[in-house]
Amino acid sequence: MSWLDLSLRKQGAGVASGEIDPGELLDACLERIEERNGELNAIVATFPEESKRMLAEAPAGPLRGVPVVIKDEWPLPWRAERFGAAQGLVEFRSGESAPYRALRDAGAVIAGVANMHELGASSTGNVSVYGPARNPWDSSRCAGGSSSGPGSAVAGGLVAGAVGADGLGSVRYPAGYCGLTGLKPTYGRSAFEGHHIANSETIVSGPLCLDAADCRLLASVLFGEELRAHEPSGLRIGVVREPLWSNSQPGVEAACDSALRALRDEVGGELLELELPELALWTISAVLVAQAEQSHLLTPATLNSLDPELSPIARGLLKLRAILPATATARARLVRTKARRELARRFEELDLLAWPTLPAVAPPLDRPLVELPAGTATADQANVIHGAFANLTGVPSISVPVGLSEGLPVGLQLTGPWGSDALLLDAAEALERATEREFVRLRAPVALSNPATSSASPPGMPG
Amino acid sequence: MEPDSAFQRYVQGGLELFGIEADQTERSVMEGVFSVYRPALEGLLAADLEGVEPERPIDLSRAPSE
Repeated sequence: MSWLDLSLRKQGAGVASGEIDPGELLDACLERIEERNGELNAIVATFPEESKRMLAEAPAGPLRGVPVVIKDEWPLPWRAERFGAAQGLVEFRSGESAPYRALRDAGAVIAGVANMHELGASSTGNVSVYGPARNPWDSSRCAGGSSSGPGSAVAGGLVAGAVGADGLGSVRYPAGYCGLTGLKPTYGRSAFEGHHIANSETIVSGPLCLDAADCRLLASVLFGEELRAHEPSGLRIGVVREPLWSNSQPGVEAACDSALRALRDEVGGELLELELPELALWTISAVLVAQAEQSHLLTPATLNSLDPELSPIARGLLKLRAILPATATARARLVRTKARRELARRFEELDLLAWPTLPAVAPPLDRPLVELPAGTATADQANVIHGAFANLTGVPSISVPVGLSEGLPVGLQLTGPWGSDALLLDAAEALERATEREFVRLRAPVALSNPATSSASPPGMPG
Repeated sequence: MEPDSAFQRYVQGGLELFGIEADQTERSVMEGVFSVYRPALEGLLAADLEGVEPERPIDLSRAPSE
């Protein structure tokens, strides 16, 4: 075991106390990436000189000297993002994105850029200009998208924390597939400036970590304010059985149900069954609002000169977006308003909503289909109804690991009202206590193998 | 190839109208994606949104004020 295998907060505390040499920690991280990335393809760029410069200039902060990675969606001063694609709809430029600044100002060291699904356009992560990131639990499986690299990197033990982005579920899906805790913050609350879709109404930056306390730490950095912990009690948790539980795989449903009951008992709460009859409408509306965000760039000239290295899927999707009726998008915005009012009413009587992050465990990279009680579906088709409405309405949502099914991770998603980010983290920590941290301690096989032979190791621990 | 469905005719007409080129693979992707989302899209177009007043201004970081 290496210091690298400890939590973000323990690494930060170890550096602050002088127990950990941050230079050795960074070397161990880069060595670990070298060892494991061939199997995972989680990291698409490292830049040791820039990382060492960040370390040399790191201010005192909660993450001083702690290595993290950042999704290929955020520009860095020395590297333009590629958005997982051979070409974007705008020219990508290097620069100081707000997530970069937040990490830098907290003293963190960016050790690498993490892979992502091409153009952020899927919940699977199985298509990327770099080749797909792989799931550390089974490298033939999807790591989830679009923050596939952040999920794979943290679950694979390359770093203890990563910054992703969530536009229709893109932090929560990889957290679910890879057994991590991933927070989609309330819209506008986390660092965003510098994203190439400057007017996005759906995308937020968000952390993916090994547990809720690390997520709280990294989210606090991204928020620029401390998300204080409180003891939640008496939580009223809304459970939407149809279709979010009933059309999940039995192993997924059972793991989530067991965890939810444990959470209820831990906080002295109650589970309240409810229906969201317009959820399907909210979901298609989320997709339409998100896809419209760059539609002004979809001109014939642009579409007729797309880079041939863009996948046929991306080219087809872009061209489809160009001819969708504007009526649908206009109606989607009205549905958003209706959905926000409906949610606000629901949250007068509820503290949280709960359902599986994903209806199935991670599908194969080469065949991203899932078998559900209602039949076979594409993973994207099945996943989006679980995640997208939080982006449509702006509310925060978190995925927490709740065990394994078929040897693969299962995530429970908790969603709260606007501004309840800290409450979601409180609930996630309560769930960890209720389950004696059994599920956040689970590690993917690759994260337990080939330990880095670094001197950056806790005393008395091998290698 | 002659289009054999309403969607194919719509795609062919739309692409031709705006001078957008698309090969057969891209058209297949468009058709596949549309077939997945078609029921939801039809539901959206048929939804009763009569009387839904837009939020002015909309602030997605907060609950709606009205």
